[in-house]
Amino acid sequence: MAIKKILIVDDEEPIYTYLQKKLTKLGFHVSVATDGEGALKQALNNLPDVILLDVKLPKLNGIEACKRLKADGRTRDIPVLFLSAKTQAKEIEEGLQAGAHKYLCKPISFPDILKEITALGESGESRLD
Amino acid sequence: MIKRDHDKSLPEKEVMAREEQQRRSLQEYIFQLEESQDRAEELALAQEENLEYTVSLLRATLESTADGILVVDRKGRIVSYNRRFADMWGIPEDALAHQDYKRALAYILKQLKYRDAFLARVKDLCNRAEDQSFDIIEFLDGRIFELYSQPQSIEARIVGRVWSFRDVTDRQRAEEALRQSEEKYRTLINLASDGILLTLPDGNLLEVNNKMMELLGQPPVEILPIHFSGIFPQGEQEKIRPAFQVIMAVGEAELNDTWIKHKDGQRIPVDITGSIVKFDGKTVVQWIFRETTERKKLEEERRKISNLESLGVLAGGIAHDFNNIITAIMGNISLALLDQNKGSSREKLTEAEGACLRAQMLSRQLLTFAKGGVPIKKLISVENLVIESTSFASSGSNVRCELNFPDNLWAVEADPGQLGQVIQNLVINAMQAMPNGGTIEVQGENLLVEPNSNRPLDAGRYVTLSIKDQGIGIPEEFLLKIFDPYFTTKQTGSGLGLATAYSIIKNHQGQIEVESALGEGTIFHIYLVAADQEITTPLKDARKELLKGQGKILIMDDDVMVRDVLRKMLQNLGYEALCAENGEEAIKLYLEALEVNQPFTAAILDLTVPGGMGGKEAINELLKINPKVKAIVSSGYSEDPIMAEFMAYGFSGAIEKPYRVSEVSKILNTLTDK
Repeated sequence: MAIKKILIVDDEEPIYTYLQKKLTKLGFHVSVATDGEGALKQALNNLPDVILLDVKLPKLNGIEACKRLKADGRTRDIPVLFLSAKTQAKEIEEGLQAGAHKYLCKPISFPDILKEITALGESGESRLD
Repeated sequence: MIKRDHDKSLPEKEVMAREEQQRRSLQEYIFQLEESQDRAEELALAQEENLEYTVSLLRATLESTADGILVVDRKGRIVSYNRRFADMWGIPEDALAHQDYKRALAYILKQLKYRDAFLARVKDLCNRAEDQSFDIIEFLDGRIFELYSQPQSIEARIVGRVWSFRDVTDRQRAEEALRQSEEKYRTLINLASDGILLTLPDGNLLEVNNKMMELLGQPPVEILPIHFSGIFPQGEQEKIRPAFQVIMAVGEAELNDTWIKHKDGQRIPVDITGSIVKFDGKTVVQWIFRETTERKKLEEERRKISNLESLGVLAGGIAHDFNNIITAIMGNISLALLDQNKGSSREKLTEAEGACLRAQMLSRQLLTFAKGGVPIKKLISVENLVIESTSFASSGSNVRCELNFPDNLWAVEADPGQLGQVIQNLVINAMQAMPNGGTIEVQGENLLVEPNSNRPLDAGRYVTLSIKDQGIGIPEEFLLKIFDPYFTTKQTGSGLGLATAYSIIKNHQGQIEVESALGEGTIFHIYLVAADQEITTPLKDARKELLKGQGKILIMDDDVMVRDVLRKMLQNLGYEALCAENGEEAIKLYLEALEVNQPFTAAILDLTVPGGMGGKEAINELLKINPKVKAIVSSGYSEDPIMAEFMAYGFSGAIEKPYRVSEVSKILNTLTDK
């Protein structure tokens, strides 16, 4: 499936601004949420093709948000890429357990993020993982 | 899990949190780095795009000029060129793509007319990198390019040279065509036999043709007037202004019988036509000046001829009366001479008679001018005629006449009056050619012309008469013209003297020729056909032998003086004379004489009687009365054909007025003898 709509969820302004700018320039429709609840709301409203999700978030952390997304039938199939500075094996495990497609560790370069998104689009089978 | 969290020792938690924080910071830093990289890339991209744009703009500009442009570096290698350059020289792309300029140069050179000069010029400019250049180059195929070049500099450093080539063939051809057309016009106006001036509408001179310069006396250019009016003398200029206005209004104007001013101040008569023409893209006025000197001269000639014609008519009229008067004077003198055989008055009377003879000559000359006249030929001695005709020359002048005649000179049949006039004219000319005096040699000779001789004469016997002076001579260019009527080089001459001489000699079937050398003198040769007869009685002795006679003579003349003197002459000769004023009266007298049986022996009848019956009609009447009537026609009009052909009209003789008693005696004697 072709990736068109991307939801970025991060509470740090420089991060989401940069990502939004770069991805928009590449032709994606980008929306941004800065906390866990916002992420759920936007995911339901926009039904993005992929969600870039930070773990440490206000109101509702990324792990919880991911669990709820996966628990909701409307958003279950949306692949979630965790993007987090929490890189302990236990934390990564926790993220993948929550139903994320991949757990990307900060710091990461934009080309590497883009590679993951592109790979998602090409495989098209992310939901079955 | 929470427990496990709690299990972790504090320092470990702290380490983890620190690491997490570091990762976040790093992430932020990486993105910042990426962004500035992106920005740098974008900037580079934008700059590249901008440069490309500028270059394309320049290229487009280069391609859109009409000139062919070639840019070379300082070593002559091709840096840049436009399409137009390649096209106009027909240089293939690959020759230009090659940096080696030599191939491109070879293409250029082979098309040029003066390739060595071009090459030398290019080489010269290589050595003078900072110079600009401008040249005109000619192609073998006739094209013409203008070639500009100037150094190409970057920040005051000369890096090469920009050559631009402009094809000016069409412009040059158009200019050439215009130049040729104007040249043609100039040639044409310079060949014109009329003077031509071109002026601007304000009258300032533009062009003056050759003939015009000639009319103006070839003034140096610096004294040529700037304005048209300057070529006219004072007083004519006022006529020019209105003519100018007419031309500007209707495009042309004529101005006849005006004058222009020659360099030396002389006035030249001209007719002028002015018209507007286009010349050199300007509106100009073309003035054509036709010199009317010749026409004026011709008009003058015509006026002169018509004057002479009226003079001729007048002369004819005067001559009639004049001859009657001279007849009376001469007759009376001759009678007086008969009475007075000695004493001082005889000499005076002889001189008076001589003067009468000259008056007679003058009246004949007048008549010859007037009419030409058929010669009344008599058998005469040329020598005697020359003696009579030149006698006036010796008296009171510093010119001497030397006559040279052989004893056996043949006689000629000629009109002594006319031939005498020829001799007089030639002698007068000779005298005038020698204002400081000299000798006129008059030579008579017999000449036998053999058949097929070189002379322009028929074979036969001729008497030649040569009249030679020691005068100034006649210029060669005039020699052919001197016999033309009205040709004269003398201030007061009529131009008729030699023309009359020529015509008289022609009427005598003779020839007149001239030879002359400047400063040495002139000789006139006259050839007259010699008479077959010999003169038995020389004319010069005629006066002495008065032949007396007897009988009754009828005189008819309208002039009382003539009647009186003739009556006295006849009575002196022994005749009885009766006079009639006109034809009617003469016939009446003739009939009366017949009735009383005392008929007239002869009659002397005047040819012309104004307002009455003249001799011509009277003889017809008399012949009716008496077919054997002996009548002599007498007239002052020696040119009247009746005088020459009197026999055809029924006369027995003719006597020309004025006459002396000796001539009357002689003619009556021959008549009464028969």
